[in-house]
Amino acid sequence: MDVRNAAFIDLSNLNTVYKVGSKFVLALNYSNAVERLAESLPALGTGYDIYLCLKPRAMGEGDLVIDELSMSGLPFTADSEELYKVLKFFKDSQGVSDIYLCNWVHNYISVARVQSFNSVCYYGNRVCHMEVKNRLLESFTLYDSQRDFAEKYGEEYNGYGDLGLVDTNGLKAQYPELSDFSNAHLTAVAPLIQCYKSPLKLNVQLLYEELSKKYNDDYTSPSEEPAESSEAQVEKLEEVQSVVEAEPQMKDVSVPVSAAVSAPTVAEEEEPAPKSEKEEESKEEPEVVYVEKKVPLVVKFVAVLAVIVSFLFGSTLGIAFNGATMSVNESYFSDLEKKILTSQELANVYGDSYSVIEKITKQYDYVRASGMPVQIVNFQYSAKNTTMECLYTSQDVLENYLAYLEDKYIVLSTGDMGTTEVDGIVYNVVNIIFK
Amino acid sequence: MKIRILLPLLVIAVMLAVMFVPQFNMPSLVGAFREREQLEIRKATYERNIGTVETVLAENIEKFEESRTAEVDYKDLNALKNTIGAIPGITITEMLAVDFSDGFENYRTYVEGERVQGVHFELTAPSYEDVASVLSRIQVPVYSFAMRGGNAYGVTLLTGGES
Repeated sequence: MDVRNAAFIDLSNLNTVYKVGSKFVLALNYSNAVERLAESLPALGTGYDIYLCLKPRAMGEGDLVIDELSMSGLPFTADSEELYKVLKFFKDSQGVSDIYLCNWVHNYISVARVQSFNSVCYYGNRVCHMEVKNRLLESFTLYDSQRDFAEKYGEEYNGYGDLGLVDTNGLKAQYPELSDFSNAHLTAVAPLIQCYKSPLKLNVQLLYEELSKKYNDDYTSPSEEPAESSEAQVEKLEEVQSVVEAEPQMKDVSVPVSAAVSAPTVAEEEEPAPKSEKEEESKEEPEVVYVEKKVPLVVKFVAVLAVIVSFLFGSTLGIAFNGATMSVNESYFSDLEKKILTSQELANVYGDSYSVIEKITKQYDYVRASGMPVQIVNFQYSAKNTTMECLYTSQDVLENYLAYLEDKYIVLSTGDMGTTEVDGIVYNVVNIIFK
Repeated sequence: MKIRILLPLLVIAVMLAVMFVPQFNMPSLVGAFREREQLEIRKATYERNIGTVETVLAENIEKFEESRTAEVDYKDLNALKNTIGAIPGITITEMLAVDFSDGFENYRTYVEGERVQGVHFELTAPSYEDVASVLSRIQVPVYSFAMRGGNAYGVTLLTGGES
């Protein structure tokens, strides 16, 4: 079974059935609110199909005959300009893949509980009488008004019999997900459900291209079409709205309930009584007939609680982890720093290999050539710095000596090492590090 | 509509609120992320620097070895010991192993045949010039040179163990 999502739309009243995956999940009556339908369709995701269920126009009222949708005794006639506007509107819906046209009358007949019957359905203000024998249309007659119809068949004529014509049990058996539909609802959308398996359906791609050439020279394939502005979309909505309104409307028909064999709109459950215009206008919001089960509030609450706890736990872990990482990082950087310094020292050692002795000698000679009463008892040169241990007798001597060193080198630090006695003379000891 | 919109908003609000509650130490979380970013930058800088100095070190070693004409192998510790010890007046009093990992500051006993990063000789020699002359002649990388007084000297040499 095809698992592509799909929307089945009755263009006469915008009754819409949604199929998600392999199941019919929702039936809505948009009450001609095209913009609401347009908003809803993208919810099917990308790559969904649209099945447009259309009633054929009366002979002589359309300029286009679609053979693929025609049935014995009733050529499928349409108004090409109106059809083009409708197709263009749905073609531009976000995510739509294929669009099919279906014959409402054929679907209505094929879903009947019996093979031969007389029935009445409505084309806007007009009333249609059809006679079917062995599922073949024997006659299809339109009457301009209920009065005209009554003159022919009388006030009490009700055809085969109200809502009992559609095989609702058969549909429910075939599609168990429809078991929640009331018979009245199912009767209203039965021709839409039949679209799915109807042999009379036409992929409109070629037809649309032909109509595009006829009505729009700038036609480009859908993939080449740039995104439309919101103004253009609004304009199109208005066009389609007018087309839908021009379609035969069941709601406008004033006939007794007993005469209504055809289905009313989904919103009209057991009483397909005529409605005033005010009532129709107030019915802007689509009515949900069947929806998937909602998640209980408790489950949602627990889920939210779980998210918060996870967040807190994760954050705490994150802080702990981050703290540990920081500590590791400091150690890591300390090691790296040491490695860099050492490598620099070693590089300098190798680089100065042939001049280092000369360098040391110069330093050693310089520190001894001050002429001051400073005795060097230890001298150690290294790649880092040079450390000396000196004996001196007064602070002035030390200061002068440090000044002498500063003339050529940089004194990094001095450290008092106390005093020592050499040959009965007490000396101060200082450790000098220079470079 | 309400529950689907309100629930995510509630979750976000609670998360934001909790982030700034001191008891949960959340401000440090923000700081930690910032600190982490800085650490990443610092780490990249350090790694780049160490790459540079290691390249320089390798180049300097190569240049040193290419320019070297002395017969004695500066990596052969026994050869060094024998060469220095053979100079009249110079006596090796101690031979120790050193590692640059601790800055060549900690001397340890040298084990025969051990490959070390540096070697330290404690010497006695008639003068500084005698020691300096030997070191120049055998062309060794001198890390440190200590004059301790009383004809005692200490020399730390690199032995190629760092590479």
